Amino acid sequence: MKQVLHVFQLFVWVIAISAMVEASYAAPNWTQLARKVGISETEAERLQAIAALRADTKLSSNLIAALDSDNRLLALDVIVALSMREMVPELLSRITSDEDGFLTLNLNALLEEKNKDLIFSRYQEILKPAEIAQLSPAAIVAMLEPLGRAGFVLPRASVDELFRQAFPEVRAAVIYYVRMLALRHSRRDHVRVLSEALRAGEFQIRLQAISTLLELTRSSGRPPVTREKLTRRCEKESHPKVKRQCFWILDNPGSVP
Amino acid sequence: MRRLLAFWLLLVLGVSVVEAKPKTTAVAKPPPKPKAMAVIKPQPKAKVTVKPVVRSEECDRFYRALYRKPVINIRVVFGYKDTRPGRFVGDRHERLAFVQRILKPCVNGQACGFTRGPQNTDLFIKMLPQPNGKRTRIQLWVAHSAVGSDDIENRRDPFQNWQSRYASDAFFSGLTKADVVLYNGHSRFGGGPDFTPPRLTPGNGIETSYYQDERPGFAHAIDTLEAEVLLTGRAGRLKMLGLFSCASSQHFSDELKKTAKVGVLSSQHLMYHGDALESSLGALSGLLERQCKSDLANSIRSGQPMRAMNIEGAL
Repeated sequence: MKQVLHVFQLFVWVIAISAMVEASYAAPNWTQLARKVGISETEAERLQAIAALRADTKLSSNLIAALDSDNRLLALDVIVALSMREMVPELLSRITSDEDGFLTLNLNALLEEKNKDLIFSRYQEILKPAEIAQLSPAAIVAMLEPLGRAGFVLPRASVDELFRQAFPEVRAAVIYYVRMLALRHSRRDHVRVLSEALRAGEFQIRLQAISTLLELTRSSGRPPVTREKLTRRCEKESHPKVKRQCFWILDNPGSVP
Repeated sequence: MRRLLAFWLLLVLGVSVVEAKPKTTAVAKPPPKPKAMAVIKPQPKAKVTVKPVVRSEECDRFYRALYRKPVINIRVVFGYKDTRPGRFVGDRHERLAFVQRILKPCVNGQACGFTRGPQNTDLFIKMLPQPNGKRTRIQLWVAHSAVGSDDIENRRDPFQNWQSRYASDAFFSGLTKADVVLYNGHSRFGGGPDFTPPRLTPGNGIETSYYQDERPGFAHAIDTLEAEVLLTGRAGRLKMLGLFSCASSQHFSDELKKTAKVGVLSSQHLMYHGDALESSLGALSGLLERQCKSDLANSIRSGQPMRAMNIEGAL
């Protein structure tokens, strides 16, 4: 009887060890490959990882499950690297719980002509004044940028509410949005926000507004403000360091070489 | 197939092991009889030994120096995080994710519970209770480099000039004026830290030779640290420099150790952006919790498999 027990115990050990041996030889799972998509020594290694991910028949279901797990960032990287646009509805359904904004950023990376209306209309819907409170500042910032780049004009009530948000990063993103609308699409619908930004408590917001107004003044036949007015605004800065930076912006309007 | 092979191999080995065992039934001995009069000694109670927290002298010295003044200046600077060949630039968003975390009420650790000043979007304050009952003011400056998420647009945006200059100043002036500086960005092949859109080749790739040969960011950092020693005759205020960038150990830490007596946190590996973010938060928390080397190493390791970062010159 004891012998039978020994053999049985041994059998269990054999099964366990053989599984371990198998695992050590097994192909890397999708998370290991995803890391290589994000960071790899060579482009060839990255492409190899992408090819292996494409061959994984369970990838879609694994990624959907991972979107609600600790592997969320890896899943998002894979979705974008493989241009899995069929995942857009899955991502849109999670946008209101996008705490760090990375889901929205990856959604932006999947934008194309075909799905643009679907994505932007959802953005517009959740950027309504009554809905904004449920969004993280990071997700709002991520949404505003492609809207500005595409020339999508949000209603005035939404923009005003966004510019009332406590997070200065959201207000900075509104200025960026207004800049893109005006410069790339000649839409001046929300330029008034910039005047408000000149009175902001945070010096970074004031300087960004001055830079944007200066840029609009230079690029447009109908400048929203004169350079003289901006100079006067710089003179008003009480903190000497901020004042210096303000004049630096006025004197260095060129773009990055 | 491999599983089958492994299975049979182990089965054969297992059977031979069974056969090699002495046949217990043939030589079975009766179990020893209990000694009737044996005094049963009570088992001594297992001693519960609390392992004392071993804090090295080096660790204590580091924190005594760090907490000597009532205000600690910490800077976390996100470098320009382009994703070439893609257009996306991530540092503005990574910084915001970092900021959201440090503004949350504390549940675990100390990278939390900060409040933001009304006049500076990048300045965060926290009053940290100390063992002696006093409170230390933690001034945390968190800066980023990119004005937007699109590299091509950033290059056309005049405000990018200002933003890069601002982030660069936050980092380089921090080397002499701050107690702790953490950089989260690209190593640029040894030419980082870098706060500007990268220099490109005519084919729009990154001009690696420029970064490898000129080492603009690192040379500036070394010059700044050396100048401090030369001008003041002593090391600056800096006590810890964290470089959360790819292979920063190989690129930077040897020369840094030669130049300045500061603690250096660096990575031997390529760093995934999510891991770098978590490790930066871990470092902030660990330093505010006065963690010594092994605990801090745990706080800043990340990834799957977990990858440790190097801690040198302190703790």
